Amino acid sequence: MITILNTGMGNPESVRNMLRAISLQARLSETAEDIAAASALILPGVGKFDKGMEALNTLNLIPAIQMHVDSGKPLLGICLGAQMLMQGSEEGRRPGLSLIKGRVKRFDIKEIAPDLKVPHMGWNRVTPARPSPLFDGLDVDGEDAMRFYHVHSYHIIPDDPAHVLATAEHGIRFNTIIQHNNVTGMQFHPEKSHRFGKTLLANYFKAVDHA
Amino acid sequence: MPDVRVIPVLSLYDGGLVKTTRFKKPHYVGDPINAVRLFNEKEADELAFIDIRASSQGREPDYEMIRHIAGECFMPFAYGGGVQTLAQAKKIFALGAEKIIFNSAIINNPETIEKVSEIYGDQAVVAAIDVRRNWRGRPQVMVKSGTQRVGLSVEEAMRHAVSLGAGEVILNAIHRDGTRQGYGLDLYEQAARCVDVPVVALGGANTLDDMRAVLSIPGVSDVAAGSFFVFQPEHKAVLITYPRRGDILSLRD
Repeated sequence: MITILNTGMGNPESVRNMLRAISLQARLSETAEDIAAASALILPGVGKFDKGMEALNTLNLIPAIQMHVDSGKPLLGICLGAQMLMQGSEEGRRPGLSLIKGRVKRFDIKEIAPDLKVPHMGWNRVTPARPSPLFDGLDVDGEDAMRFYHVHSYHIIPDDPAHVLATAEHGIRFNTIIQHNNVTGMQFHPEKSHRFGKTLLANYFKAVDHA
Repeated sequence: MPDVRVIPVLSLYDGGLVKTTRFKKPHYVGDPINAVRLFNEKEADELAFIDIRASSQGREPDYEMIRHIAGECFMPFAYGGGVQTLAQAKKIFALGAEKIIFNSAIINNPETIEKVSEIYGDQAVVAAIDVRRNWRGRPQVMVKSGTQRVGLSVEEAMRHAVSLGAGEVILNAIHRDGTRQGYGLDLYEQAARCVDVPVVALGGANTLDDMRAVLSIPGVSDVAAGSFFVFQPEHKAVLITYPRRGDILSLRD
């Protein structure tokens, strides 16, 4: 069963609502047993990097997440959950899950784009860095180009550019979907992105053979 | 950069939606959940719900209502009204809200805002700065649904809220609320640039041109409105509307 980690950080219920809207059943859980039994795992998250990692540590979920990934089953991180896939963040001191090599950096755009605000907050167009079944049925340009709701002050920089699946622009071009084998991170909130989010999540679960 | 956000602000009152005029005379406009469904269909950017009596009545937020909204809302939403403690904020985030809007707590419970921002991040904390004009035309910052005066200038109140950890400021002109006379542009010209976080203009919008006008002011990043989205133009007949995508993309031209 699709399992959404409920660590007390953020909005697991919103993710479940969105999955329900595309006819996927999911459960919320915070136990290692449920992670072991999960066919697919979603790590949502809103808030500070260290608080998020601390919550995983306190619940002793990190070994279970690692085993889930080692067994080849899909893991999807959303927003802070995507950032926690990395080795660490400028926002905090705790190590991340280190499932993808690379770091998380603060938007440093004051010099180049003094009028732009941080947090980057709002709907932004997302551009594929390479083809993927995740983008099936989504337009890349025009008035109906796929757009997703972003709200974040930090962005993900994988060491290997091949792990970037899509980018968006906020003063700089930043990475907004990352993927390495069975581990995927979405910096935006697909669960709050109307039909674009529905399509992307439906494509994701189809691609990981879960539809 | 992100597109301009065009944000319906919906006032909750005894389980229904109302629209006020200058924070008074609540006019019933319908069922909140029905409105959420309509805004889903119209693909609104995000929604803000404000329980306009929770704070002045000193009662808890209506968690059942927030749960219902979250269950239907496929866009981000913020909740405001009566949130004074971290425990209340935690409950609201767990129910599925992305952001909490603080007003009275900026003055009366600043440590709550600091804690919420520390745990959930500044992007989850919105400060609503309500401003009215006194008899001399001077701006005054108000809290508790516009009933309690605060001894800070608009800029001081905005900077104070951001220093507590707000990642966004809704700058609301009480004297324009529900009037559909256009935004009070001088307020934004005076204050919108005093903080680095997004500043959302609220109060008085009647047309897309009103939105264009306020967005041309440096520092104003997004627009919010009430009547604009719930009434037919020039009438008080209820009609939930939302601008077409092409119109939104033209707002910053």
